[in-house]
Parts: sequence; C-alpha cells; structure tokens
Amino acid sequence: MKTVLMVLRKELTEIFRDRGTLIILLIPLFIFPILNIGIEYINQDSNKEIDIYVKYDTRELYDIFNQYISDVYNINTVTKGNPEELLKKGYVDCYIYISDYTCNFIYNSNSYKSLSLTTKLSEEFRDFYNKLMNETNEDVCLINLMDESGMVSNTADSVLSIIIPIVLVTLLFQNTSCFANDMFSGEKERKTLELLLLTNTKKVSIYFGKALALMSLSLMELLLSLGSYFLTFGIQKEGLTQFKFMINGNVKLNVTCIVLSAILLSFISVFMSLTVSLVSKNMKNSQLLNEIILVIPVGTTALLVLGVLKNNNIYSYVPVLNLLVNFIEAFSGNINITDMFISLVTNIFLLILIVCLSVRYMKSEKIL
Amino acid sequence: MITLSNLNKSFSKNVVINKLNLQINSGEITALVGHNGAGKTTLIRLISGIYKPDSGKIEVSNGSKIGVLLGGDINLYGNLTGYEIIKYFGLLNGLTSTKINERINILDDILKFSTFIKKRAFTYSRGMKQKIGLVISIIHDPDILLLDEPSTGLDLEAANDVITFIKYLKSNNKTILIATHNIFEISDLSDNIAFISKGKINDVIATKEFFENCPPDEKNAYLIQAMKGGLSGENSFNGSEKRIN
Repeated sequence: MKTVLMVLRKELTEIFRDRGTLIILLIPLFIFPILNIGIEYINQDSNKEIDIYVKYDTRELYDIFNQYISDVYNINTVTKGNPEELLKKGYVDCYIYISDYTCNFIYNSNSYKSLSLTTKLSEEFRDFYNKLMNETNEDVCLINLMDESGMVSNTADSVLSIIIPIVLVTLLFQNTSCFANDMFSGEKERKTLELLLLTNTKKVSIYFGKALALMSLSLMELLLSLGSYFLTFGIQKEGLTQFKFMINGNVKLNVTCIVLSAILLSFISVFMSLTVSLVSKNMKNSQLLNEIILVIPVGTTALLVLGVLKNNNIYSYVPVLNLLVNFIEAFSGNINITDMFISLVTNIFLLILIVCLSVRYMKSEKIL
Repeated sequence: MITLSNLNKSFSKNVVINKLNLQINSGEITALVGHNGAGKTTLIRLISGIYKPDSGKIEVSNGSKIGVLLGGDINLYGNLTGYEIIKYFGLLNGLTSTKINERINILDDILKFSTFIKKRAFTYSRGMKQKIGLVISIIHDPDILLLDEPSTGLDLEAANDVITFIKYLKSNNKTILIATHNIFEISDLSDNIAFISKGKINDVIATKEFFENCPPDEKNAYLIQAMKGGLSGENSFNGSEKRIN
C-alpha cells in the first residue's frame, strides 16, 4: 500500500505541474456557462417574434390560452392554412391544438428554434394555467409538448437534455484518456517504465498507483463537470428561468442516478484508457486507440439521446449501454430505482473484469 | 558472481541470444564488447530481469542487489526535479529519505550534479540526464552493476565524469558489467573483455595482459576478428600463449 501511495503521489505531482493537464481539468468549468450563454443568445435572437398557429375544439381552454398570450407581446397568431404544412415549412414556430382538457404544443423536430420556443411557451402556459386554476379550484388540463409526429415529450426532453449527456460523456472519456496516455505508454516511450520495473516494487503496486492517480483526476473532472452543470442550469434566477433545472420527477433519485452512473462511467473510462495505455507500444498508438474507443461511448450516447436506439432493446444486454441509458434518462427524470440498481451492479462486475484483465497483462512479460 | 549458462532468447523468430555462456567474477569489471545488434543490451536486460530467458540459467550470488543503467536516450520525468526523481526511485527501492540524502551527498562528490538537481528534468542536457540515470541505478548501493553504454553520446567532460564514477565503483569492490562498442574507452578500467557477436560470447580475455603484451600491429586485427565473431578456440587470444609472450 505504501508503494501504491508513493506512485500515486509522484503521478499527481507530475500531472499538476503540467500546464496542459490543468487546462484540460478546467475545461468543464467554462464549457457549461459558455453553452448556456450561447443558447440564451440564440434564444434572445429568436425571441423577437414568435409565429404560432392555434386550433381549438372547445372555447373554454382557448379563452384561457388567449388570456395568456395577450400578455406576451411578441406572438403572432396564424389561423389560416394547414397547420402541419406551415409548421413543416417553417412559416410558424409552434402549432397549438386545444381540445377538451388538453392543450398540445407541437414543434418542428428539425428546427431548434421551434423546439426551444415551443418548450418555453408550453412551460410558461403551464405555470400560467396552474396559477389560474389554483385560484379558481378548477380541474387541471393536460399540457403536452410533442413533435409533429405526435410523440409526446416532457420539457426535460428539450435541447439541453440532449446536449448535456453527450458533453458530459465526451468530457469524461476524452479527458481521462488524455491523462491515461502518459501513464504507461508515455513511460514506455521514455523508458522510465523499465527503470520502475527494475526496482523492488511489485508490478501490481505500480498499476494500482497509476490507476488511483487517474481515478482521482477523473473524479476531480467529474466533480467540476457536474458542479459546473448544476450551478449553471440548476439555479433558477432571472435570465435563466427558461433553462431552469431540467430534471423533473423524483429529483433526489435522478440526481443520485446521475452522480452514481457518472462515477461508474468515469471508473470504466479510467480502466479502459489505462488498459489501452498499457497494451500500446508508444503514446501515438495509445492516443489513436483511445480516440477510436472514444467514438463508442460518445457515439452511442448521441444515438441514444437522439432516439435512434430508443426502440431497440439491445442496450439491456450490454452493461455499459444500460448504464448510459440510465445516465441519459436520469436527465429526463425517467429513472426508476430497480433499473438504476441493476445497471450499477452489472457495471461494477464489468469494471472488476476489466481490472482483472489489466492486472494480468501488467504481470506478464509482454508489458514491454 | 554471475553465471550464465546456455542462455537463449528470441523475439518472434529472431534469435538474439544463442546458447550464451559467461561467468563474471565478484569485484571484477567485465566489458561486454560487440557491434550494434550483437545482443549486448538484450543480455543486460536478461541479467537484470527485465526479460525472461527462453531457456538457460542465470545465477547471481545470493542476496546480491543489482543496479542497472539502461542504454539509449534516458528521458526522465520532465516535470519532476532530479532530486524528486532520485528520491522516488530510492523510496521504491526501500530506502528511507535520510538514507537517500546520504547517498546523494556521497554520489554528488563524484558525479557533481548538485548544481542542477533542484531543476526540472525537462531542462536537462543529455549528460545531466545520464548522471541522474547513474545515480538512480546505484542509489540503493547494489553489489552488481550492469551499465549499458554509459558514456555513449556524452561530451568529453560528462564522459570523463562517468569514467571517474566507474573507477569509484571499482574501488568499492562492485561487480560490474559494462556493455560498449568502444573497447579503448574502458581499457583502463576493465579486468576482462567478453566479445559478443550474434548472441554468443566468442572469447573472454584479460584486459591488462592483452593491452600490455599483444603486439600493436596484431591488436586491431584481433579485436576486429573478435567483434565480428570470427574467432574459434584455436586462434583465441587466451588460447594462443605465443601471441601474448
């Protein structure tokens, strides 16, 4: 254990003296505020004028809606033409269909402007309606946000809940692999690994010393990423209200799932990158291999959040995919405790398997 | 003492060490001389334990500690200082901080590295790196030292410091194996010269006797033959007493 701590201390000293590493570590602190500013800027620009098409079957709910939009200065209401066509061609940003106790906010899924404006409108109308109904003790109606095909999504399915998991997974895997490249393949290139192996130190101690250093860095990166995310999008204040905390449902459970899944994902990325660094002859090979491997989690996350793999149950058989699904769904507030538990347990077993295989390789002569 | 018997090592289908036999006596300096690719570095790595032999035996005297200076460019941890690097390897070798500082003070008298030891390693020249490499290899006071081309690529001053360092080790009765392709560099230091070619030891000669007694016009011819691996038992320097006398 003493040797493991010695290796850990040396690795951390070396890493923290490297300016490049520090910059990589600090990226998450800036990326989420920049993302927020960028999205707000786009939104402000598109807020100048909103064209909506309103169709209604019953007058009662329509009157309430009219009451709401009378306070919104920048809305143009279109009543003529085919609403689906107008939405598809971009002549209107949002199509609102009002029937008995139901108000559907329909957006064009190919337009970011349409998605964000419709989300904003639906959220504001929900607040307006709830406030009004609490005062009059009337029945509550259903307010749905859906795309043009009729697929219902809740507010958390907006663009941020699509971008955030991809950004987080990319940061996690990319930065961990950056740190890991130097751990073994860098030492091989510099020939310092041979010097290490010539000491009385056990190979396993060297491995775990390096793994601990990488885990600490990865956790630090995760802490900064999640901290920056929650601070940027979690605080409801003026100017940020339209992107208020995206997680709904059981917030405690979903935040726990996000944190636990992210920790497990970061550990998986640590041991995957470390294994790549271990088997690579030099840093160039390690970087290349890690970049190729990076495509898998990031690509899969993108496919999952975009819904390409939504109807495919393949992920339930692959532990890491399952973990990613849980991680993503927690952002939408859809997680349940059984799913989370199964996903965490199967992935812990996967992690143990990766560690065992790596240690076995480390012990072999092939390491050099 | 180190005894190597019938040692074999191949990488893929490339035979690098081929039925090699060699004995290195305690307290002696043996120079391992051969052309590039003769198998010197592989032999040092085999004795140090970095590589495992395919077959054959490596016997090292009981309880002997081994120190190794590996050949080629040494690239130390650039963001650590020389002192931190030495301390790291000292601690990994089981020394205490006090003992490490003591050893650094002793070795500094010979290798003179105190002027740059507190600077980060990325600022070091090749000679400075080599000196730190030598300190790392001997920080735990080993009984046996394996040095792979210790002065190759160094300027005159740094090479001279390395030679002084090896003399210091000799005075401390260490068993040393130095791999080199420049025999004249270690002619004053070594007790024996072992010629290696194509993974085999061709001949082992006593350095002093050879340089004192071999006729100058035959010396070079013999060395070239020995390094090429063209000697057999009959025309070996040790086997032909007439040429010595």
